[in-house]
Amino acid sequence: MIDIKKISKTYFQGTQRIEVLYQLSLKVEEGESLAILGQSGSGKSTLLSLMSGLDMPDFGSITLDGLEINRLKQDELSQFRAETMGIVFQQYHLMSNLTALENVGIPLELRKDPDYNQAAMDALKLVGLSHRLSHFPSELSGGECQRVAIARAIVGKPKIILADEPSGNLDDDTGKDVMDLLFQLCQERKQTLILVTHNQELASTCDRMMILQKGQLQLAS
Amino acid sequence: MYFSLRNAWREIRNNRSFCLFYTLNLALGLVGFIGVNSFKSSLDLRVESESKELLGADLAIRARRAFSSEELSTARRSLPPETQEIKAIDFFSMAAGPTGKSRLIKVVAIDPGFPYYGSFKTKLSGKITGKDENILHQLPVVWLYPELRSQLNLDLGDKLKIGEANFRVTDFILDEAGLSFQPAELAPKAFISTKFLEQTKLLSQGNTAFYNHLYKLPSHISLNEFTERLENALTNPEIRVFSHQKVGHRAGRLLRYLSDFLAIVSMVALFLACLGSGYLYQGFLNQRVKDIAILVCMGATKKAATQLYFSQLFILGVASVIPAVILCMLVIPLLSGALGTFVPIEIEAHISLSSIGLALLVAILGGWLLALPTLWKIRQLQPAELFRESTNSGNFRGSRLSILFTLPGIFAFWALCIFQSDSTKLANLFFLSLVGSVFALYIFVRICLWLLDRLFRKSSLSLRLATRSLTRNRASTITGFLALGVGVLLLNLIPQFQYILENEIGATNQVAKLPKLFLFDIQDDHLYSLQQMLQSRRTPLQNITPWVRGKLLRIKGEMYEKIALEEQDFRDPEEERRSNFRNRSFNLSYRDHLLESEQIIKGRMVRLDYNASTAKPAEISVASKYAESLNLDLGDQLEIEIGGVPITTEIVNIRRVRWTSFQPNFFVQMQPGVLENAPQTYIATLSNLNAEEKEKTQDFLVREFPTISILDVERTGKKILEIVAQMTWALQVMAGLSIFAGIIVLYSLALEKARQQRWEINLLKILGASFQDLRQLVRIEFGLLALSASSLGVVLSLATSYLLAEKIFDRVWSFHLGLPVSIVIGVTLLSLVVTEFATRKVLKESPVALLGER
Repeated sequence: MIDIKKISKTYFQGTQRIEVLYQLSLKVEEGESLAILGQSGSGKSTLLSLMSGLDMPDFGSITLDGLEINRLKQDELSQFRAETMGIVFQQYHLMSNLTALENVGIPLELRKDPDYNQAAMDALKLVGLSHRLSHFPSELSGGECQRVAIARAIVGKPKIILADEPSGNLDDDTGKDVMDLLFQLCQERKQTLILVTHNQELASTCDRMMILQKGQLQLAS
Repeated sequence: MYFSLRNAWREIRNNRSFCLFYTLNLALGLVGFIGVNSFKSSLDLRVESESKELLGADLAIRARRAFSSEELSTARRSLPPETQEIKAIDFFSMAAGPTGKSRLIKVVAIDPGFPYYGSFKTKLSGKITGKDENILHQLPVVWLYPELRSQLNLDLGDKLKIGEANFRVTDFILDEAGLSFQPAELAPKAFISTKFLEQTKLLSQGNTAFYNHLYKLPSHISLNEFTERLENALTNPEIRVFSHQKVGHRAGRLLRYLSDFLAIVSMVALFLACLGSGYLYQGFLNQRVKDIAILVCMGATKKAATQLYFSQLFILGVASVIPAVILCMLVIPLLSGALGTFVPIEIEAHISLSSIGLALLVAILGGWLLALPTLWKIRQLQPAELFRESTNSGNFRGSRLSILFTLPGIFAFWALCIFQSDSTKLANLFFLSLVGSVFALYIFVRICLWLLDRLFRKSSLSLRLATRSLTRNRASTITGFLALGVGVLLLNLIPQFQYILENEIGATNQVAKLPKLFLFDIQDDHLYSLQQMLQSRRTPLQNITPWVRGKLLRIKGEMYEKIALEEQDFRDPEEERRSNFRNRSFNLSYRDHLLESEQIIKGRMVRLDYNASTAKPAEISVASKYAESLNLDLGDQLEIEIGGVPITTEIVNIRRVRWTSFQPNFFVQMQPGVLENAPQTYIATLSNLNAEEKEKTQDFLVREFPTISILDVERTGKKILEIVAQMTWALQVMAGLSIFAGIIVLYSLALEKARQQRWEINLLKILGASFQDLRQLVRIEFGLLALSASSLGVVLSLATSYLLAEKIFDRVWSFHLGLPVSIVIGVTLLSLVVTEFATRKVLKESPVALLGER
């Protein structure tokens, strides 16, 4: 499903050169859940942005679902993202001026799916928020916001879900509930889940754990 | 596209307060735009439809002297055989009522059958057409304008003395048709028949009269073809050919000029509205950075995201036209009422579809162009930032390249200025003045901000926080400064001009040296006795100046050709004005000294000793505006025909003339010794008369010298000032619209600022600041902004009025302190009140809300 071959990424801060990822390789099978651990500044966010096509590696290739995404044009990448990927952010990143229903429906609207409204309602039902369809993010609690974000990530039945510290901004109990929900949905739908976290306990519930260190991935013990 | 429209609507639905202010801002800017455009198109439509009635015929020829039989035959041969012809003669003259009261009137002597189109509407007889038999051509009777009733103290049946003849007043004219060559008349009219004109003995040599022959063509004849034939047949530049279309165009000329100025002033309101809306939209879009990034993460292209906001601007643009049209429905009737006196027909202005269409285009396109610099930055968006642990929704990254994206908007505004003003020169002058003013304001505010940052570091908390807010929010500070500064510049500029004119024409200036009466058509054989009689009444005749009629034959050696009149019709107004200088015979004089109102700006004084036996050309002095119109300079030669004798002349100086002095002045003054024996009349002035003496002197002159015409300078000055006041009122309404737009911008800015600084304000409350402290902070901040902006605006307007007075009024600038001071105080206070309203809600909010927010 995911085949990353020797990617490298370097940033410049002023004149200082920072090598975030160096010759990183990774393979993930379809339906597998992979946890990526690492300290702050280890390059987890960079890896996610490369995998989502929002950024390009300096070297190497990234193949998702048989398509080498670093060769795609921007419009093709956008379309690929809309059809193949769902992303859950640590800070939810819901559109503040849209209701929960509208937020969830966005990915399908982008695909010009005429049934986006019904699908969004179904997704919100799945995450237990069918009573909050017309509420704005400012009217929802943190847990509810993250549930909406999960509903948005799964509504289009994407093949890959990228989750960046989805419970990072939540208390333990809520975070656990949210993660249980995410895992359950991914398993039911056989979606590949890439989970970035620094929570070992959470990481251990995935099929595989890897640690990002010094720009490279290693299997966690 | 559907996605973009649907989400654009969502954005509008969920941001009502922003959308309301955006559309209100834009609507204010569009009110003046739509109003003036609609007025202009109504005017054009009306004069076009009434042009035949305005002329009273299809075609006319007009000259300042009688037509020769040959010329009339040539004219007839150029026209179809069935063409009908009548004549009319108009001229200024004094008239005296039964009690001896006299006035300057315009006598119009008409043939039976006048007018061919349109009709008279009189008080007693009602509607009278040219076909109707009427008493005017049967007996020596006169129809008068109604105001002469009180001015001459007469009524129906009374006798009116015109020249040597008496006419009985049989009716008063309520409306008329024909011979409306000028948009406004200097004197009320009196209609008599040509049959009885000779009895007045007013048309002797030297008296200025216009001779008109009017033609009615057979139906289904091409007017343009026969107009051209007539022009080609009558090549003498003294003869002017008028089609009814041309007369219609001329009749609306004054109002058209004013409309062009109004249009330019309305562009200021539009500029300010765009400034405000643009700023608001930039703030709005900056808040949407995160949302746009999320959309891109979800799979939207950046193009789709851009389309969304273009769609939003489209909807808002359309929405802004609606309140603008509604407001215009109030403005246009006011405009029509105020400006109706500037055109000889009634204008019923209404909002035209084309104006609305144009406003839609401006609102939509303007919104897109305003947002272009910010929307372009979407392309540089980094959605990957969403994965960063500490996300900052912040602003779009600044880029110097984004400045380039302001150029299409600036260019579009300039093009719109040209379109609105119908004059490239006026538009360029306005555009450059506006750009210059904005630049000056911008530089000034940057310097002030730099100084503020340093000056108040150790002052009280309120002052420090207020100045810090100004210096650290440069975009909003600069926008507010520009909006108020430009609005105040305009608000002060127009009454400043009015003050200059009033001062110059003498309404307010107690030491003005304007004459009281201006006498013209003084015959040579009357001059001595006139001087003696006035001397005996202790009102000596002054500034006695010969008046000679001349005709240009050659300019700089080239034969003078009559410029094709068709070219003049639709030219730039400046070109039209200059061509009017060229195409006629003109009046000149000779003098051995300069008047107070004259100043040589180039060359030397003419020599006082002319020797006809030498081959040297006669020396002349030329007025600067005349020289400009004919492209003349020192050393250029003109050949002028005077009394049938061609005289070669050479320009030895160019003079600046202060025409508003009402002293006898001419475009061309010759050296003494050349024209003393040429056919001439005289003009002169009388000064130092109080109101009663003036009336008595005028009545005396009319009695003793009925062929002399007298202009009451004070009355004329008042009439001009009345016209100026009306024009100024209209311009001031537009200027008021601009300042109103500026205040709305300020309100929007204050509201936006309060919203942006809500956290800081609530934090200050938690730390112990009271409502009074915070209100003080806001007052200082916006008070400083408004005071400095309006002060500089006023200074710039004084500087602009000085420069324009130099160029237009020949250095007659004067200054009234009260007006700019009251404007600065007024605008500052108004701004404080407005910001009070805008920020009240946030200032009063409980800081507990801060703790509950995510």
